[in-house]
Amino acid sequence: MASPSSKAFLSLGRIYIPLLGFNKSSGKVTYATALSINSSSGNKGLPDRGGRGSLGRRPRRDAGEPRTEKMPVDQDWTAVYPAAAPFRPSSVPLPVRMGYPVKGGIPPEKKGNLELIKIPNFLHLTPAAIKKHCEALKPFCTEWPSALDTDAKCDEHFPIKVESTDYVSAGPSLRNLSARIVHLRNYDYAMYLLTVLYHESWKTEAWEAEKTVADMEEYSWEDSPSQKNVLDLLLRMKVAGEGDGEEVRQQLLGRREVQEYKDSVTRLKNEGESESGMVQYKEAVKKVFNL
Amino acid sequence: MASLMSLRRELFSLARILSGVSHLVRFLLFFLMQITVTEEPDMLFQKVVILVKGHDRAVLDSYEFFATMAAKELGITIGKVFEPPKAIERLTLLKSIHIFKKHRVQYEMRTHYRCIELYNITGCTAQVYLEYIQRNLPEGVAMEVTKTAMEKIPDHILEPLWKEIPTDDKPSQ
Repeated sequence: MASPSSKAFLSLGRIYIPLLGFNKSSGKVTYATALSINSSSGNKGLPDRGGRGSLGRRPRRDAGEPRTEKMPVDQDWTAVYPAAAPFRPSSVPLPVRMGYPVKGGIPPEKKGNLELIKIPNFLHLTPAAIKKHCEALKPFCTEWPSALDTDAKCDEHFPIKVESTDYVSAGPSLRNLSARIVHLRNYDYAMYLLTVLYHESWKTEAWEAEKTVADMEEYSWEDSPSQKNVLDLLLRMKVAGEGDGEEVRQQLLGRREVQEYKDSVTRLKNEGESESGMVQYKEAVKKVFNL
Repeated sequence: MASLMSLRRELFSLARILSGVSHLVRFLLFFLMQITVTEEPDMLFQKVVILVKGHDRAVLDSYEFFATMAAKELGITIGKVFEPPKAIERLTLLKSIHIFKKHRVQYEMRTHYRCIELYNITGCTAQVYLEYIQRNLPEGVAMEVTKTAMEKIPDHILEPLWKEIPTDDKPSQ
C-alpha cells in the first residue's frame, strides 16, 4: 500500500517545514482518501503529450464553488434528495466527518471521503419527505373496522388464523433458503384438512357408547363418590329431621360452598396436586363444614 | 356482524408517486392516478411482524425511525419495537498459506436485528405500507415479514355435509 510510505515521507517533510515558519498542516496531506491524491496532482497545467496522451488532451474545467454555498436555509430538502442517491459532499451542507482518525488527528472531512459514500444514507427520507410520501399514499389505504377493537371479538368472528412469511433479500442467488421452511404445505391443503377433520369429528362409532367412568379423559364431579360423600355428610350434620329426599339433595347441591368444593376437587383431580390447589381445597372444605 | 365494506384498490401509480413526489404530485393526481375500488372483501391482518437484519446497527436505527414514522403517518397501530440480540459468526483461519499452524487469524460477521410489530392492519394498508418500506430498504439490509391473517370459517364447514342430504347415509368406517 502506498499510503503508509507516503505518510512517512510527508511526515518527515513536516518536521523540517515548521522551522521555516510554515506551521499549518492540512488534513489532505497526512491521510490518503480516494480522490485527494488525484486532485492534488492536477492535469490543468501541462498536458502530457509524450506518454499518456488520452489523459491530458483536454484541459479540465474548474469545479466551481460547491452547491452548498448557494443553498438557502429554508430550502426544500426533498428537491435536493428526492430519491435514494449516494452521498454528494457538495450537495450536503453539513460539516460531516467520518473515518478513523490518524494519531493525534481528527476524522477526515467529507470531501472525497469514501466511507461516507459506502454507507447507505437516509438523506432522501427526512421527516418532511416521509410526511409528503404518506400524504400521497393515504388514498390507497383502508381503515380497520372499528367494531373489531378487542382480540376476543376478532376471535369470535374470525377464528381461523393463517400465518405466512415473506422474505426480502439481495445476494448473488435468487433463492432464499429460509423460504423453504414451512409448517403446512399450502393453503388449499390446510382448508381441505380442516374440512375432513370437521366431518370426521361428527361421526360416532358404535363402540363409543360403551365408554365407562375409567375411560374418561377428565374428571367430572357429577355422580361421583365425592359428591355422594359430601351430600351424605351434610345431611347427617344439619337437618336430621328433614329426611333424606331428592329435593334436599338438589337444594344442597345448589349452594355456593358446595359448588366451590366441587371446583376445588375437580381442579385437584384434573391438574394434579399443587400448592395453590391444596390451599383452595382447604378453604372450600372449611367453608362447607363451617369450621 | 355487519359485513365488511372493504375495498381493494389498485396501486397503479405507486412507483411514480414514490419516485418524484415533490413537484410531480399535482400532475399525477389529476391525470394519471386511477384508484379502482372493488367489492372484494379486504384481508384482515391481526399481526404483521417485520424483522430487519443488517451488519450495521446505525443503519437499522435510521430505518427503524423511518418505518415507525411512516406507520404513524399512515395511522397504523404499532405494537412492540425491539432489538433482538445480535448474532456473531466467527471463523478462525490459518494466517499463512503453508505451515505456521500456531498463527491464525480470526474473522467475525455480526448480524444485527430489529423487530417491528404492527397490530390490526387491513390488507390494502398492509400492501401499501410494506411496498413503501421495501422500496426504501437500504443496501445490505434484509427483511422478513410474518403476517397473521384472520379468516371466517368457510361456509362448507358450518354444518356437516350429510345434514343437507338426509337421504344419503354415510357409512362409518
